[in-house]
Amino acid sequence: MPEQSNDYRVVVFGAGGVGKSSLVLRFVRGTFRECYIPTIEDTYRQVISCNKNVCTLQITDTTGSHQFPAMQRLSISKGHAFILVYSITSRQSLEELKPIYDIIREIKGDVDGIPIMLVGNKCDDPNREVSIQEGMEQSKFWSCAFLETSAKTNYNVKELFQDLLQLEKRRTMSLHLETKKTKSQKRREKLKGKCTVM
Amino acid sequence: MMRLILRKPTPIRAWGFDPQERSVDDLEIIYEELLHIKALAHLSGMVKRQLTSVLVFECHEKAGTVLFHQGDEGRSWFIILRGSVNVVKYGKGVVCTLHDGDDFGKLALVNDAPRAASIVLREDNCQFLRVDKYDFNRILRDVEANTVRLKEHGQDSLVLEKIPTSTQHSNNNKHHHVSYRYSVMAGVPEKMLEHLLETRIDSKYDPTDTFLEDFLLTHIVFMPSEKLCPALLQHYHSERTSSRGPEQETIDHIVNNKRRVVQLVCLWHVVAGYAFKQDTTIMQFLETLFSAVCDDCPAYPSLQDPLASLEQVLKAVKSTKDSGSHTWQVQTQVLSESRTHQEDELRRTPIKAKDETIFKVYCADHTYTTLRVHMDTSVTNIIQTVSEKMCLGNDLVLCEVKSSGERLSFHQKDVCIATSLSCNGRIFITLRDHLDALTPLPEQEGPSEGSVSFLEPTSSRELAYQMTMYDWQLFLCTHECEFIYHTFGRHKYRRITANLDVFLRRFNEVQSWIVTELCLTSHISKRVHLLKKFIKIAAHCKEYQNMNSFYAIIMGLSHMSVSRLAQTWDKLPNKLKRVFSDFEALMDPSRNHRVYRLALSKMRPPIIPFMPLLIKDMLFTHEGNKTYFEGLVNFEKMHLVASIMRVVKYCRSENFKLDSPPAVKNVKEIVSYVRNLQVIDNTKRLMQLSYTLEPPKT
Repeated sequence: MPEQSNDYRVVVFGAGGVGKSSLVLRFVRGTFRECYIPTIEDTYRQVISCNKNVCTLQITDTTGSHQFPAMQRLSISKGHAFILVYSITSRQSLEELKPIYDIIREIKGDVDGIPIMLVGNKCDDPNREVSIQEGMEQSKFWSCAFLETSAKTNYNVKELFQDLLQLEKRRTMSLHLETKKTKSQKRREKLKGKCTVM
Repeated sequence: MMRLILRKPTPIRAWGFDPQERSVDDLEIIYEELLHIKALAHLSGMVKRQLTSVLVFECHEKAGTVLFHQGDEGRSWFIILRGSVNVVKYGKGVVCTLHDGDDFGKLALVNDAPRAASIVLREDNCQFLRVDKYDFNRILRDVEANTVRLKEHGQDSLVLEKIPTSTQHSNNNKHHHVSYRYSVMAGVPEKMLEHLLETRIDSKYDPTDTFLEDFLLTHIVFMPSEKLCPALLQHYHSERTSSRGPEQETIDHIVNNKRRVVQLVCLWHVVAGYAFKQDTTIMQFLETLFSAVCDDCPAYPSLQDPLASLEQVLKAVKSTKDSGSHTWQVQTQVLSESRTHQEDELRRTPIKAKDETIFKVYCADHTYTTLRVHMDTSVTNIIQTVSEKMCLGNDLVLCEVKSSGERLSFHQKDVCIATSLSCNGRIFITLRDHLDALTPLPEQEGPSEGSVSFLEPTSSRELAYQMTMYDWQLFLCTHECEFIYHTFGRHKYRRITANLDVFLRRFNEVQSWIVTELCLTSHISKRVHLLKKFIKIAAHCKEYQNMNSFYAIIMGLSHMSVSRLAQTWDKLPNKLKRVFSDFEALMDPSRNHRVYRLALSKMRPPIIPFMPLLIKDMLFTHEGNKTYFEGLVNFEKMHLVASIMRVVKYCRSENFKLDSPPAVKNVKEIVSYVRNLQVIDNTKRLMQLSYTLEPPKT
């Protein structure tokens, strides 16, 4: 298949209900659980910088693929980086990531150069079943990175993608939005200042 | 102050006067006043200024005065300046009370529909501002709030959102406005049903308006037939509840109401298809409704026609009801029907909830018992039966053991588990603590010899044709509702998804079959030959628009244990290499499988769609959107779910009329081969085989 060099594919895995879609939507749109139409192809795209060039970050949500191993394999073989999401409220959801990790290793062979992030989502939820330590141990075992996030409160969401891109050693990746955000923030602060004067 | 100006020149002339005669100063004062009215708060200053020249002041002295009746033509929009009114609906009485600053009457204007309720003054001396239809359309139709919220008893009961509809048909009309329609975004199930009956049954067919169809396709989620049926009966009999009141109901209203209920039921039958026959609640409801209409006919002769249509539905449902139940045997791989009567053995019938299924349940030591249960028997019941048969003790779990050794326990309430197994999966029972001790049976490994000797002389076209015919039957047997049960959890509805399960498993079967055959063919030239054959079969499937098998084959050929066979691929003619890389490009998952979606949009039915993606879309929609919010059904989600179901409907809206390939001698053999594919679905084993064929270079 012709590889589009200006595409960078991040594949998100996780059991149903761990908040995969929410995390991605929070990142792409900055919103939490808005009404969401799956077949619109642009939903999961974001422009980022790669080796100082513009590049499209494509996020593949793998919902429903557990039933079709071939689909899982397809996403993995076409993916550059991987996010493995479990919910801190469900040990089962962490367990379910194990076969996924094995398949990634199997298909990618050497996982050393491949950015993989283990993510404990819903860290705002008080009904915790998986401790931070457990998450960290698992990530050490897999020698991958680890973060706890909350799509609901927007905690660590941007960091998740930022850190993931920094794990990519073959190219220099960074989220493009950084500078934009600060500019608009500055402007907002300026405006705020004016308001208080008035 | 304002009241004076608005009433100017005199109250007596108020009905005939032209508000545009107001002076500039008058307009300015009215404008200032409008700024304080709640109902107008969301409008821009521009719109308020336009309103100043058209608003008419209206005052009514006596409580109990009816401003307009339900069913009347909508002529104006009202804002309450002072006082309060009751919103009254036939059969329901007062549904809500509106006060100063509230508005009403908008919906009938925007929808060009009759008034949905009557407005009765609650107190003496109520004052209103009125905007008549023409002005409303001119000024407000395009700018009015995009969302309309209808309240009952202080709670939102229906939320509508304005969406533009196609304007092509209105070109000939003199209407200068773009047409709009209010689409249901959320609501209480009962209120949505009421809205449906009032606005959608008698309206002209508008292909962009899918509310009716979407409601009927998805009602199981928010209003299962156990609730929908009684609600419909209540609507049918709604004149009874209000007959004690002094309401001025006309016979017309009663008859129309009854007729609409019957019409909705007939439409429901069209949408639901065979699911209607399997639902005992619906069957009983049909009988009850039928006798009610029969009873009403003498009093309301115009119910004759609806009665006739209802009778047709009843006939249709009954005629096929007793077509006999079937027994399905879970054999090695496929679920095959064990028939007693040998009619047309190639035609499948849908699997029904009360059909029996025969399967084996294994213990840790690989002994087994054979069960014969209904499709919709729950896991709890199966455990109980097995436990009694085999005296196993308590705290048992039923689970699937895959050929890879992976174990998946079944939900206690789950049904039709026999069809939901993976290709070579088997059902096991064990004590909860001993789950980890379960190992797959030797037979789950799959075949040790391929069928290259059969495949080699068989035409690719014939194989693709027979595969497609089988896929098509599996697809046709799948009811659209099974997608909902599958997505939202079949155990919640206790509905089977057996037909969908079998069809979905077909994808994995075909994919594994490709890999299995190639990995079991040790001779390289035979393997190259097989590779060619598979690419050709894929090409034929694509030509037949059998995208499901097409993708299954291509994904099989891209499976690691096949794609790594460099020597085999090297010997493939360049032409076929190019064909294959074109096919692979169609598999590109970028931008949510854009390439496939574009290709699909250009196809005309009949199409067998790429099922994994359809399932993914369905699950996305489900997981990405809440079913309820603020106590209302999120109907926007139902629209999305229904739109995916419509893709399914569209794909099979035409029947397959393929020319069968020139007759070959062994058709029967081919047919039985493609329906009983023997596969290895354990990736580890496939990789091992692949490594023996072409050892890794290290």
